[in-house]
Amino acid sequence: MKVALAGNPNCGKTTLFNAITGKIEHVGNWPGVTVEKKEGKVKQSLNPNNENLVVVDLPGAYSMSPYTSEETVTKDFIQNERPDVIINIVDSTNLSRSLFFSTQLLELGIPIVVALNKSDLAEKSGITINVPVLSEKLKCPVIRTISTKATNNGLPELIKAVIAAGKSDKKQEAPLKLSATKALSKEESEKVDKKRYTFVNSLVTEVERKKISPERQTIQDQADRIITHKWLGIPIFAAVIYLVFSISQSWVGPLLADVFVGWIDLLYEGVASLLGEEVNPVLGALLLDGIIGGVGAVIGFLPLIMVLFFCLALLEDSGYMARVAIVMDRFFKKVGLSGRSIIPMIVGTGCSIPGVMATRTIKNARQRRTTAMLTPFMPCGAKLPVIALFAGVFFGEKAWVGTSMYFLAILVIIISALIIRQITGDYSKSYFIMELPKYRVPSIKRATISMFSRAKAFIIKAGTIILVCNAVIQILQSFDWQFQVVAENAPETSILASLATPLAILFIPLGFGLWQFAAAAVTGFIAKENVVGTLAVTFAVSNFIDTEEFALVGGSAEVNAIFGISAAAGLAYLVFNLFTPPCFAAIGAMNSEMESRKWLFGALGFQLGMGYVLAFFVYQIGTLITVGTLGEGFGAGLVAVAAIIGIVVYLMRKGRRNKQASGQIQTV
Amino acid sequence: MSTADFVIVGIVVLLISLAVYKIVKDKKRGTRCCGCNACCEHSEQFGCMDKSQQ
Repeated sequence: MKVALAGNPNCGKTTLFNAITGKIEHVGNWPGVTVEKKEGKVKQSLNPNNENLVVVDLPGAYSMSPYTSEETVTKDFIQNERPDVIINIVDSTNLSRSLFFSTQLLELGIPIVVALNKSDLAEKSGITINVPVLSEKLKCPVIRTISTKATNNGLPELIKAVIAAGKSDKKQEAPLKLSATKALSKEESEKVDKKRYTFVNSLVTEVERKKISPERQTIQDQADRIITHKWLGIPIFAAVIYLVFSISQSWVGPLLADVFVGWIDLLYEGVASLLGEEVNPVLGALLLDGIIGGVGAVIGFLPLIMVLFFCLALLEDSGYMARVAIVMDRFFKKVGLSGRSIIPMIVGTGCSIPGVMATRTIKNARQRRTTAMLTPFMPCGAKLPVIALFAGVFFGEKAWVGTSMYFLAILVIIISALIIRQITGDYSKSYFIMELPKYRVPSIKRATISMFSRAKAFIIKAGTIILVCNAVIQILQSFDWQFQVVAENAPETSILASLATPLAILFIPLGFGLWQFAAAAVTGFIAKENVVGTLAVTFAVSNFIDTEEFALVGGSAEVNAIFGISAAAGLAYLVFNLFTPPCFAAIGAMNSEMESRKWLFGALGFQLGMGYVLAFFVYQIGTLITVGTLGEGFGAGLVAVAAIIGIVVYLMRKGRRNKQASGQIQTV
Repeated sequence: MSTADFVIVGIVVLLISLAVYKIVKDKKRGTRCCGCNACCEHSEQFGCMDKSQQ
């Protein structure tokens, strides 16, 4: 029996899906978390007779006349695959809005069971719903559910009703017949919608009783007035992100990292003592420095990342991230991005790949491609070790470094969007409507699941891609082109050094013209964590986190001395790695979503140019401020930067001219 | 080469083989994120999932 879960966005479909299947799909306290259907079997505790119940979680929809691509997924599935039963999830706290879609579903002839979800929240808000009358009026079973509760949640009753509905030969009757799925003209459609709203409103008046006055402002409304305020919204967001970084990078994260790195050190020392003196030094270094040291240096940052993602998951679950989308919408709209662009970017803070994939919900091709191009600028989980390392080495683990990287990313995204709009000459606007979810106490359980899921991914990546890359890097730096072992005092004769040196020359104006940094930047394209791993291998540092003082190994000054670059150059290197193209997997995702080679190569060129220009300015201005003179290679760098800016300005003018010629821009 | 050297070579080859095996297996399964099938919990929602499950 195929059972579809259908309902409005953020009515709790995925939470209900997880509760009845036992799966742990990601749940977000905001609309639009699910953009594709998911399947699962009802768990045995709810299905004691082992009925063959396959549940399909569909993206949220407000209507059977799709407006967004997620709604199309839902409509197509229901119409084409005809599930045996539909569980229509209705948000008890917003009955009138939810029932519009319910009346359309009831017209399809498929047995419907209505799940009155979030009944607990409705009760708390002083809303009472007369379930028997609602069931009678809708001509289908209506069950109260609280999918977030482990017991007494109405789920056994719901599944029982679903099985009964599926086995019944009775055809689903519709309380209102208005041709929900037929293609109608705009006027006809408006008339039908009006009739439907009238029916729903009269039904709600009959079954719902509210104790609170609709005019009275709730605490949630008052909080929203401040949190989404035109001017206060941004500083509040900055303060929240700063707090998150302080907890993860300066307080709790390093404490946990200290213990964790202690274990890695023990492993390193244990293996080193086992190997003894008689082992071939090249082989010993390959195992110790290349594999254990290189992977360990990356893994050492795991606790910091876990704490960060735990905090971000709490924020998302509380409903705050949806408010961030509203705060940022004002800026994004002005630069030609869709308000929907914010969601992929927030998703991209975990990993750029799903962030880029989330752009498919944006209908306008230019906005979708621009968002796919700019989403990788958001610091993803893989970039966090790089941020943590450079913040620690050059700025004493100050939380402002990570926070400023987030805000720099947002600023760069806004400026880039403005540039891309000029280049493409597409000035079309779109409007973003998002239903704000209610604030709630975030679930520690959900945040913990999210944190461990990311930790697992991080460990798998470190044990696969990072391990192989570090082993290759160690081999390349141990031998020269004649396959002779490189002398300890002549690492520049290695294969790796000779491959990376020509590239390093290009980085002199950016302050990090050393082959080790060039090699790390290149391996960073395979996976961004590789930057840390490669630096650990090439500078022969086994871990970057001190086990005794919660500071970077031997204090930042020592690693700083090993790296041999200034703080300005360190910051420039960090900026370069954050704003140049993402890893290959994310580039693959960009290719899929952009569906245009021209856009893809344009995006990669833009990202490369952006990273180079930003790093140049950070290093040169930083050096001017700290030392009083311009940095090395200023002249050559200025020529390169001027050339990049010149190309961008030329393309912007060309785009504008083309559109003026076609009459799409009226103003100059 | 001593016995210890052979042991190290064996361990390194084993570790790299396991890593490459996992990478190739994931690629064949259709995972988009290099090296793992769980780059984050959003992966499956946006199509980054095991092809056999689709």
